[in-house]
Amino acid sequence: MSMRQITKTINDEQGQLVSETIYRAYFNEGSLTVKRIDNIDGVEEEHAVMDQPWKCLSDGTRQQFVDDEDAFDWLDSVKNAIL
Amino acid sequence: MAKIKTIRQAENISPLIEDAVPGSDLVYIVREAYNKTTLSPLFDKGLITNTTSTDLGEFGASFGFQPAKDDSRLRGGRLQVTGETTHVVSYLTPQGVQNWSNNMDLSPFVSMDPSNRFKCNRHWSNGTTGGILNTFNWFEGNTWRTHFIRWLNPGLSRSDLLEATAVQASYFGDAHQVYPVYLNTSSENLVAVTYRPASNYVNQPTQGSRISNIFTTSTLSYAETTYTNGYSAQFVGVGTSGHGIIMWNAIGNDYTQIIYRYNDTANTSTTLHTFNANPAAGGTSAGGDRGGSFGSTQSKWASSTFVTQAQPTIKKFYVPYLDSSGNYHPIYYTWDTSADTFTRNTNITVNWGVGNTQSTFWSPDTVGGSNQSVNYGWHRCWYNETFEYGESRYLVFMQLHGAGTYFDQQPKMRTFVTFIVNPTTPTTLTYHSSVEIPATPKNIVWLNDAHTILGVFTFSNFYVYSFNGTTWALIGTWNNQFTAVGRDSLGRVWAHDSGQFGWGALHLITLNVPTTISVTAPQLSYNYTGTDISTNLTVNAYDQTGARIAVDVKLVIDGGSMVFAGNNLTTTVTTSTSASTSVPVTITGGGLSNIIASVVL
Repeated sequence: MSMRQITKTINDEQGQLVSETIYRAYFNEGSLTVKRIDNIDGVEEEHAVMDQPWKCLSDGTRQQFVDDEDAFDWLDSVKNAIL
Repeated sequence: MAKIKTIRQAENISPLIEDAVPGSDLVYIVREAYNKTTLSPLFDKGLITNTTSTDLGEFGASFGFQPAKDDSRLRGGRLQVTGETTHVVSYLTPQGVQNWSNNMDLSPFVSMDPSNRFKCNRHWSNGTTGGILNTFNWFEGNTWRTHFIRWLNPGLSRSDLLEATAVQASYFGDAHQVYPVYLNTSSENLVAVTYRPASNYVNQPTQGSRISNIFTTSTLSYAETTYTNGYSAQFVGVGTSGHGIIMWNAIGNDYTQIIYRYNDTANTSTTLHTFNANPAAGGTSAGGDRGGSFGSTQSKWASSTFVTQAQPTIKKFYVPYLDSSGNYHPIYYTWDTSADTFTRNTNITVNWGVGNTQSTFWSPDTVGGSNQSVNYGWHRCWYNETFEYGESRYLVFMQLHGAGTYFDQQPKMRTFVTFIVNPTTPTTLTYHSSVEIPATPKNIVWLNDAHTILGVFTFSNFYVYSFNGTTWALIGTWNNQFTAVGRDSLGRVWAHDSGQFGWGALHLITLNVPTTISVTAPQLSYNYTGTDISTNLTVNAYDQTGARIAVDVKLVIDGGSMVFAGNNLTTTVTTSTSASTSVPVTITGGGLSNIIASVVL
């Protein structure tokens, strides 16, 4: 199993930071599991938020992940849209 | 319209709670029990809204139910009836003010599934236990909450909630708007559409959320997946494995839709599809992205799903989309429910008729878009809904503005346009009719399950329209600033306004819905030979949907060759909802007789 940490930030129309969320994506047996990292009083907790067996393309079609790098790159490219 | 009750003091309780236990014949008006049908009171019987918790004042007190006249808060749940219900704010907030106050109640839109509409008062059952959940959505300033109160029906033994004690009253957490729509009978979780607000007034839907412990005495457990900003979200329906399908629809453009399947047991989602490519030109659609033109940003709400006889496992729906020329060409989706795969079709043809264009009838909202809460809140929306009437399918397109008044000087902005769907090519739409709402439509409520009777809230009035195959006919106008309108289980329409003292008043609305009366005889003609002939007429009355209804029908014989029983020329019969009604007549002579039928109101 391989893992990549991904940070999603949301800014308002003036560019001010609204929120920042950290996710960890785990790739195992061709599928992604995405977990949100919550830091509560200094204690880190992981909460699963997404199970993703394929990548979704912008035309609505699906493709299987080639490997973990392909999966992580795809998630990073769409994090602002789907996470 | 009958005024049923004026609330004369502050009451931390919904003025009307219909008993949601199946078969119950009770309603509770300010806690006191009344017969649902006759509205006659039951002596010394009512509803106990305090919970068994130590905080007996929790219900209501913590979210202040007093509906003051200048109340700036949208108070969902004032009308706790068991049918579709919509709440609005009755006073006017300028749209230029950055706030939540003009946000629309999402009740008419959050579920696309005709089998799982959102209702703020609902009895859920797992077959052995019932759970009644009343939800109350409201927001004020930067605080959003969905409060709830719930009762249990253990063993499904209760026939009503008379003298029952609520097991819990609380809320789903700060900054939540929660619309439970569907019970997954496997997990016994309620699946909800949930929104989280951002501090900059931007909507943030979740990809799914669940409510657990609805059938136990344990505290309700709420969980949600991740959420982000800039989308509207709808419950599309139930997917494979009983999991709910949620669709996000971008506010900043018209062409991005993301579809998720929500696993309520694991509280995780799977992205089924991402559609965010600019549609190509096709049919009469120019395709592309209109950018900020033709109405700036808009929340968009897709139609209900529907199936055809030829493809019972393929559900279809329409998503509002304006092409790069600003012309309405709704995206047509199909959903293969056997595999949870979706396909969208943007090759759309819209025929406006000879010599007409879209601008003949409709124009986009160009008065909005003044600030973030208008741009990305729920102040405004485009909504299209599909329905059947007779043998045809129709699609009606609406533009709403929660602040009211902003379209008052722009008739085409407040015009609802209806199209007829080509029966063999559902991507081809032909203009059918349009109806100009007299003032800015703030929100709508559907007043029958077929979605052919439509209530429209404006700032000063409430209007009801009925689709009759030719147009949306105005069948009623109420000069009231209603804050809520909804249906009870008997199909009656209730309304709520501020009332004489500002604490609210309940009204029962009578809809003068046209009916069709059918009177037929076994034979077209009879040969009278000097002997009286006894026969029976068959009488039926039908509502707008073609369903039989029970009404009093007056029959008058115009002619001298026939009489009703007792040698009468008039009679009144009550039709049935389940069968034809027979009316004996005797032919007493030769010649022509007509029968004139009318509904006794």
